[in-house]
Amino acid sequence: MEAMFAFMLVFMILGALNQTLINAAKVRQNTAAMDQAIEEFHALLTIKSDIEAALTLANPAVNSTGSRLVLNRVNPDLPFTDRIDSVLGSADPFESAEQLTITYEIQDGVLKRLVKQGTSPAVVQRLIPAQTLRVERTGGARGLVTVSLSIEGPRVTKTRVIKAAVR
Amino acid sequence: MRENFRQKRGFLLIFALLLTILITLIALGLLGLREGSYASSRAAINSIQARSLARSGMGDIWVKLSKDPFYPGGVGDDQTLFSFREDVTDQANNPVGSYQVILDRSHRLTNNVLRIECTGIAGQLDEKSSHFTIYAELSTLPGDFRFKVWQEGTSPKL
Repeated sequence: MEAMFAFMLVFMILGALNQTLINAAKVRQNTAAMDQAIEEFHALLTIKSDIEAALTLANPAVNSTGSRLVLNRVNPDLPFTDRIDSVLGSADPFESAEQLTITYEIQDGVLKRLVKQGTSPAVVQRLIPAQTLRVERTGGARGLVTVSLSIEGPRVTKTRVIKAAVR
Repeated sequence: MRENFRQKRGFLLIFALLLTILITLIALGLLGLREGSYASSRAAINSIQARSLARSGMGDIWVKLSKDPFYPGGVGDDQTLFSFREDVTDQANNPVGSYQVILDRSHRLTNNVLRIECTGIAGQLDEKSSHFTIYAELSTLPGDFRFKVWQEGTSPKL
């Protein structure tokens, strides 16, 4: 009787533990997938943020498609008060000397963000492993930019798409 | 022999109880390990919500300024710094969060620029939640009314 009760208790606990471990494994898988998705969305939101901050979009041309995105934006590291220094330069806070050229492209299976100011060499930032980048501009100079990023997952290749309006 | 058997009675029960405690401790430990992941997921969701609220605030001020370039005062208003906060609710009127907009008009006349900062706050103010700040510079030049600087996730500047 005592042994039966003990075994029953152990089996109950083992069953509960089994369920806990199965759920923990599921959560672990889902968390890994979510971490990957967050990285992908972070890369896409970085692109979107750059497009929305762009003063000009150099590539692709209006109403065309390309595999590179090139844009110019004001250097965010320069405070506004430095950019309107009328003694040392122009009072225009958005002049070309205060701009960065940012390029997004796939190099060696990795989406890279190249940041260049003036004639200095570009600073390369590695975002995420990706297969292809497709940038489509529609609706004229102040239209819409659609960015499609193909990312190879463990089982399938996913295409993440984000749209941003050119200001 | 019978005395020895009597002494060993209850051994399995004690063993089972000890095993139960051990296994429970292991399970609780495993669950505790996941707590960081759950917190991280919650933080990611809050951060996305705060970002959306900040963007809503930027949209709000954009519309206000596009309708009235001298918002919130008038042409002769000398006050340079303004701030307002809006609470945001969902369709069922449950609080989603809020956004605070700060508008700096001190360079409106000299440089044709309005500096705007919007902070989105996910959840209610007394909750542990996320903040997200967007800083922007709006050109008010005639024919060139648009954001020329847009920085997301910055620390407050104004």
